Amino acid sequence: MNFGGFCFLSFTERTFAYKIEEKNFLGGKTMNLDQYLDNLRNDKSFMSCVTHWETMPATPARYMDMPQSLSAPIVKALNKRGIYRLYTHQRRAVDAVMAGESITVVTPTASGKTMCYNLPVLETILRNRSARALYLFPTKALSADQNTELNEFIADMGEDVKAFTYDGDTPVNARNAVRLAGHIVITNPDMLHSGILPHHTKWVKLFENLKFIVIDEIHAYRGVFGSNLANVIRRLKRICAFYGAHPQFICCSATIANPGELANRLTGENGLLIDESGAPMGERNVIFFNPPVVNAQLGLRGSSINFARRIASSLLQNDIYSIIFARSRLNVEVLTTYLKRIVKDVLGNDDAVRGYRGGYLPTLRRDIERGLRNGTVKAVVSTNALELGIDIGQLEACVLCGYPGTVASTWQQAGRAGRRKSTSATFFVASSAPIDQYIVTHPEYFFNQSPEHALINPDNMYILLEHLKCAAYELPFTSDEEFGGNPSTQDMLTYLCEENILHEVGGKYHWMAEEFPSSDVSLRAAGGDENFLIIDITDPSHHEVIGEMDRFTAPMLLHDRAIYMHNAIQYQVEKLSFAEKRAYIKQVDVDYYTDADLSVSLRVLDEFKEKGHLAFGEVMVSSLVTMFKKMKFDTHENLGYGEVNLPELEMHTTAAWMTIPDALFRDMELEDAHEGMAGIANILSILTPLYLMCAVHDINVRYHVKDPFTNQPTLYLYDSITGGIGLSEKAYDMMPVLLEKALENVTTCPCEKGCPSCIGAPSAHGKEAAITLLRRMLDEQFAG
Amino acid sequence: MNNLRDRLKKISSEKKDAPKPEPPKSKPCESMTGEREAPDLSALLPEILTLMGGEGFSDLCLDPEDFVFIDTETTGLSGGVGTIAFEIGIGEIIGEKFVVTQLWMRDYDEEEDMLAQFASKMRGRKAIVSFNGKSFDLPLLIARCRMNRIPVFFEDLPHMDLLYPARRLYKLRLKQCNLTHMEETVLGLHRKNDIPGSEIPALWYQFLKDRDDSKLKQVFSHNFEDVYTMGKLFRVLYDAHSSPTQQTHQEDLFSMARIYDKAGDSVQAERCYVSVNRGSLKVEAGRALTRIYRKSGRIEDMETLLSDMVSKETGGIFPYVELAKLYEHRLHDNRKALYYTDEAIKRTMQYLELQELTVRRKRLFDKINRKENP
Repeated sequence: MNFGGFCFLSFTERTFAYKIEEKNFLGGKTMNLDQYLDNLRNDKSFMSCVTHWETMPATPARYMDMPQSLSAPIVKALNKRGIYRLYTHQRRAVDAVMAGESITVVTPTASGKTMCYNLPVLETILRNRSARALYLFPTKALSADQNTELNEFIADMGEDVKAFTYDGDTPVNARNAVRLAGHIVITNPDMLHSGILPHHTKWVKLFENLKFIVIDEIHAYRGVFGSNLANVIRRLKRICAFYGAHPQFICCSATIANPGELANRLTGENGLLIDESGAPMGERNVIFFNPPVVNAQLGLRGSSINFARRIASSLLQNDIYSIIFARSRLNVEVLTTYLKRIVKDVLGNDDAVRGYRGGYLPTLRRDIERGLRNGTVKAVVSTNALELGIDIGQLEACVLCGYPGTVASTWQQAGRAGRRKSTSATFFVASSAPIDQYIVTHPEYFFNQSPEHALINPDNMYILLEHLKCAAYELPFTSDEEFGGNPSTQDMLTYLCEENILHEVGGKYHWMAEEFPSSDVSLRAAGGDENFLIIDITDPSHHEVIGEMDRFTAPMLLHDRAIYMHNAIQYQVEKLSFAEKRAYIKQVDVDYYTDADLSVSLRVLDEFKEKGHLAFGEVMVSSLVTMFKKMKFDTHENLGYGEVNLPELEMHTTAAWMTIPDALFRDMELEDAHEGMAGIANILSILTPLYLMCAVHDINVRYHVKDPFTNQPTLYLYDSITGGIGLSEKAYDMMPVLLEKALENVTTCPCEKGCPSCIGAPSAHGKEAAITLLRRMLDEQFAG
Repeated sequence: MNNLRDRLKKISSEKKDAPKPEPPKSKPCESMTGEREAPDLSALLPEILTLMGGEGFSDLCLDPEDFVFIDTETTGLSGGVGTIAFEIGIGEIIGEKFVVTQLWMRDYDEEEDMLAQFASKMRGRKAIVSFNGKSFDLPLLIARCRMNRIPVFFEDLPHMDLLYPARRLYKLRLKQCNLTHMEETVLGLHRKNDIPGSEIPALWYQFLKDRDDSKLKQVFSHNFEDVYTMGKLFRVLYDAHSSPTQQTHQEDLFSMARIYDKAGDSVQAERCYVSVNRGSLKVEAGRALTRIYRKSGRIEDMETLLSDMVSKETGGIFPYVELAKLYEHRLHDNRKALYYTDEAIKRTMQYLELQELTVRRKRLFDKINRKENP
């Protein structure tokens, strides 16, 4: 019962009237993390909820001497930081870059990866003052962070090297100085895309002398964002070539399954992969915690927020510095409020606990980051905003309230706790969401499975076409040019001529429109499809935009009279305007939710490849919402129907599909067989995003009892982004694994007749049927 | 977009049979010239040119032939590198004549030649004159030269962008300061059948498709007039700046006073301010004069001016407050200061002002008391 120095919880009788006894131990005896963990191991009630406790032993540092070639000012600045040797990966990076190679460095948080690019870049600039480097970070906050670090280092070198950030915050009168004098220009992809490349003639100094392009946090560039960035890089290389520059690329990534491949696709270069870290690491503990079942009948578990809060409270009371990741802004607020109560002193000062999320102003965020570094902040509650490499020093413990969505993201967040020399611990507190339950009950998936693939598809026709326009605006295409090596470049250019966007003369394609193409392209959303704005009109005098949604999901969740949940607040949709691309919503308090009936039809346009009963190709997805159901909370009983009148949406995308021959159903009742298949579709919709490292909405699974194209029962997995970004193709390649995992999931699921974590709604024979069908598919090598 | 792939397939199959396009090569562009009587731009004083806002004019002795007047017609207004000048109007003074050379391209493959000809016209010039060329025409031409690998040697030439002096001088009176508007109101010229600038890009794109250059004629005459007007406007602005008090309009007189005031020439500024004698402008001029007098310690002039404002009841509480300050701090007449403070208090409508005045009143009251009852 003794949990971390005080009574944790008392649920011996599973009555769940348990109550936390938050005895205040301030001033009392506290434990260090090692003692705290020992204590936990002996706490039976705590351990009864632990599904897995992974201990990773400490690894010692591996050093190499500093390269002889490093100039004295750099060595001086390093020495001032107490650095006299380099970690092995840093040395390898410096050597490779100085030898002219492009590289990709994959190392954990706090392994000194910025040295991997700063050292060779600064060395080159010291040797040749006209040399230039461009740094790309996914956010402005990270650019600002890097700018500070770099300028401190430069100051310690005592040399006149200029590093500037260039983004939307750069004052107009400072911009010219950045363009002409900045040795290192730190920016983000969006600014490069719309602020630098379309004005490249003002950046002659940079482009003529560009030696390095540094892309940090490349794991952040996946899906649409990554596909867009790859095309921005293609444009950048084109402009560099025009000015006679051929820069090297230095990419850095957190641990993902395919860092080298991702970097190569982003940059179009074959870089050297450096993925063995020489940085030391203390012992790390990862503890999977599944809140106890509170209602066995309904399979309901205790709230992850409550348990995350208990763990965080006890850490705080033992003065163990920690970070708590919550899945939503609201949860951040709730947890922060709880924890602040514990640390509040007699003067009402509770700044030892801080919340940190997207909506905060930059100055406030900087203040919190400083507090974390200098130790005045003991616990921070954050959304994934702190997941990317903002420097907050190293904390001892990390509490994940809910699964962050991907293995890579989990390791990134866990990496926030992890000191070079001492022990660290990460607690994953599972919520009742199917994906959380899958992870917490399948720890081997998490620990044995390599992290997800970060997928991009720079050749997505729609994304490519938009960037082709931008590129043509920046520099006319010649009649033998291939953009990023894409063989259909010339055909697309001809198409743009037919559309009167380009004009061909004298073997060149010139821009011939009045508009400015890059202003129409957002790098972070799918090409050309404008999102719907969600506008809260509860207060008639103050309409507020509270979010946005892509146009394919909007009809499902934002149709008229839908109940829309945002930050755990219920809203009813007053009006969904397709013309304005806006949904107007009002706060309500009702005891039901709505579930729209989406009828989706898929038409196969082209089959690119096939194996077994599986095929991959292009499809046209038409979706139409015709009606919705009102469902009562808790009991899920149907309270009535409503009609929806919305236009049908069409989307051209890629899909993998499996055709089911009659033989598979052989001895089964047809009804059971279809239920089984629907169940398999449900499992795949849970598992596929896990294995493809994408958001749950990025890939869709549909089962058609009789498909008009194949004339057979057919299971489709399709990309929910126009043109596809390679998810379904990866699913095509991984199908045997996915089926195997699906079988494992359904056989090990403790439910009796089905639950949301496996086949979905319970049915008489669905679960059995799903198991039988999956076994047969695997035995008969359906997926090749 | 749904049938994009079909379209591309079709294009691809048609392309197989089509002959390879010819290798890129440059073609000569079109050129034409026209001339009119030249404005007199001889013996311009560098200090007046500097006052007009031309940086780099301070120690230049310029002959009329040293100027080049530039105006372009473009394929759009966005400031990126993909916007192209399809026509460049270049004005120069040759003897008695103002000669306008118009270079234009019938297609993109003539751009390089057009820019090369433009660059050679720039050779030997000492100053550029334009209207809004600093932020639009010149950066655009520089960008296009760089993209066509034509050396840019004229980037740092002194540049007289007439938009700025014109706006400073006429904004108060004309409200809007586009070239055509000023042409009518300031120069008294009226164009016939002029084409709105916003329609020009579409006309050239249309020409690319139908090769019918009749519509472009309008564009060229528009551009010719623009260049010609620049010459005239330059002279008119120069004259206005060199004899500041000789303005026909009160607004211009006041604007001119401000121009000299800002440039630090308080003698000329004062002359202009004093001549302003119309309603609200006069009050503004009075405020400015008070500031000039105070700066140079001309107490008497200040007293006269402010008393005049009081007797004419212009300027609201401003002259009362200023007189109160003047009597308290400079002339050390606390009773008079108290009188004007009380008058100001009667007239103020603002809380903060009232607070300030009350503080002053109390201080004056104390001073008087101490002096009279030591």
